[in-house]
Amino acid sequence: MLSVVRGNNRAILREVYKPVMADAGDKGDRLVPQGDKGALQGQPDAQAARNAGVQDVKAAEAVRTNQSDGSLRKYAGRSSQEQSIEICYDGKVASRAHKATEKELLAQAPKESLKEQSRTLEALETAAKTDPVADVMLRFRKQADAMELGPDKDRLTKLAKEQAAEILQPRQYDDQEDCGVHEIPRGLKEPLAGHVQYPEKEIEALRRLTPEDFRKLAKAMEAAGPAAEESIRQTTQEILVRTGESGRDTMLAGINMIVGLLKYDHDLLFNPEQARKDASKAGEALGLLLLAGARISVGISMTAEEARQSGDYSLPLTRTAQALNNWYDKQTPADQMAIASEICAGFGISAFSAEANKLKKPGAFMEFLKEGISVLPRNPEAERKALEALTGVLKGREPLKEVAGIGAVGKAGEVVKEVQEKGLGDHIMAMVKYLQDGKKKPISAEKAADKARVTKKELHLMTDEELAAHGLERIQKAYDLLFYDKYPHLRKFKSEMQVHHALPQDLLEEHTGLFKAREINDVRFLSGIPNDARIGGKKVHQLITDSWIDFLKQNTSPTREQVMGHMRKLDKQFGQYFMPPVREGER
Amino acid sequence: MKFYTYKPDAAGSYGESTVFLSDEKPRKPIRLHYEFHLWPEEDMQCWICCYVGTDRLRQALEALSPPVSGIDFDEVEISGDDEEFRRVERKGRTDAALGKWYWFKIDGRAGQDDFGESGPARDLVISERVKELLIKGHMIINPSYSFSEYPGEKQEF
Repeated sequence: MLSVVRGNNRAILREVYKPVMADAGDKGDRLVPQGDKGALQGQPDAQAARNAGVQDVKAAEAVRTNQSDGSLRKYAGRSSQEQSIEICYDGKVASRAHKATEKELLAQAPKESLKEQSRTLEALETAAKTDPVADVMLRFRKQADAMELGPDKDRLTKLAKEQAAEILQPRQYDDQEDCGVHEIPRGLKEPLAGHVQYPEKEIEALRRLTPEDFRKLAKAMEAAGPAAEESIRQTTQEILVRTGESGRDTMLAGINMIVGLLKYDHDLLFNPEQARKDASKAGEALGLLLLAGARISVGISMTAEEARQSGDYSLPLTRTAQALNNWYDKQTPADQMAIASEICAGFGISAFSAEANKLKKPGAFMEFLKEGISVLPRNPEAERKALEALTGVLKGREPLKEVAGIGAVGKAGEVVKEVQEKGLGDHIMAMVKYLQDGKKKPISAEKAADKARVTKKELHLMTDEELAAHGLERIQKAYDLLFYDKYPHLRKFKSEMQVHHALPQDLLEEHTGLFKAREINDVRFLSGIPNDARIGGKKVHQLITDSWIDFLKQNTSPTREQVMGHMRKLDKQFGQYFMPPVREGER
Repeated sequence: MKFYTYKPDAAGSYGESTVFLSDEKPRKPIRLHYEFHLWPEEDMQCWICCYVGTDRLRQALEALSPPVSGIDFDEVEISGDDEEFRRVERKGRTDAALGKWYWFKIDGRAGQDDFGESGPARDLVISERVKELLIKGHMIINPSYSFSEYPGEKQEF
């Protein structure tokens, strides 16, 4: 701690990087409120001082015991001046008698900051004995301290310090209670200014919705398109009739929120692009829903087909909950602790902090949230803080965006990693594939260059028309890379499904010229088929291939239209098994 | 004797080493390389008008009495493709794990020999005893997908 001492009046300025709080915390100096200053200016003494002449000033100077013209030189030797200015730094003093610059004192900062940290830890340890939230902070802090040196440690240590400061700060105010008048900065009287607004209307609506309402809304979402809209409209009307016209706006706000969240949950599996777009709103809505105490099913996530067969997507938010669990499980232990600590700090209640240990079990994140919310005091202030913490995680860390698959953009994908390893230029060249007319498999750039009688470099510069003149075609990427680039959320199923060409690659050999290789490998005509997708014991992929054999045997010279027609017939028959699903006529 | 139209699975297609007699469609190979795209689950596989079968099926057919008719066995090169087969189906297994396969060359008359081809689409027609052999030997997964009764050649007047 750096402090300045003036003479014998040892008024300590607390931490210099908190000047406002330091002033407010001084026991010797008291801030004079602005209003009081104004009042003083009108007093007779003040008026006399303001109107004093030169003689008055000289007379006053003559009787001063510490008179000075701004230089201490002519008073050198006066012992009373030796300690006129001192700079104290945690027990060490720089003064006229003990020369040391402020810089020299501050040079000891690293060593001293350890002491400071130690004091914070001690304070946390003390607080943890009576405050379970501080206990969680303490464990978080210790974990951060135990990490190896590096940016992760720095980041978590900083977070731990900030959170510890939040926990300990109110105690500093308490300590000041005996120091007379002090002002708390205005900003702190409005803790949520610039943060989360408390959406009372939505929370009220969610509380008034019954489990039956939730079930009906979820059921309504089962239907697709206009049927779902009509079903939701009817359900909404029923709810509004029951709850009365006076709360109409409130109830509509809640219903809209539920429907949006159900849609996000549905889109997670069937339309991840849309889920990504809606992730932010969904995060906010999920936080509110949790606060409102609505039940959220946490089940086993399933494939689109399983969902269709079991009708499971009528269960509210199964996939969202499961996806959040998976997201949490995949975080590093340090990040997990940081997330838990963010939420614990926001919830600030003892029973909840004890639940933190349960988070070590896989898939426990949603239970952790639900249990925390179940013991949350039902008052607006506690809910507001909890909502802020939830929003911090659900919106700030964007797990819902990440689980929708697009969050992978922020991480190094396989292609990016390859680029980093191989170098950009070579990699892009390596990704380009060349195909010969009448062949379904790509050939190397060397072979293609030989065929075109050019160098590899010249080959890469050739236009599609120039390549075609040599019986060559270029596609930009291997089809599986194209597919997983478009559907990154399916990468995790790579070993569990095949990337299927809706237009068989063999068409390039069996009916050369009917389709271009870039058409066959167009990502529109690629679908994932889960390995375990079977009908009557037969693999769905096998049934599709068998059907193409029939088609090709029956049609020895098929037209493009016939081929496309057969593809659409298969989409209609088997599209529900695809990942993502394909509906009739969709391509 | 009853005859049946049999539609074997197509778990693969022509591999790069296949040599064709001509480019006339459907192409007729004189050397067959069968490349699997899916791991085979049945003992007989096809691609357009070519058939391959496992060694155990060949042995079972050769053990029939009277001798099986309408089929010859020849060597075939087999492999798995380096795309989805390698990425998903192979699961660390080598080509040897696919077992020994033979080219089943069909040269019989549909409705008369144990193996024959019928109509412009050259549908494969097998005898009832071959069908029973396939079912009893658990060489097919679901008979209802594989067999339909062969009505005989349509008479043209």
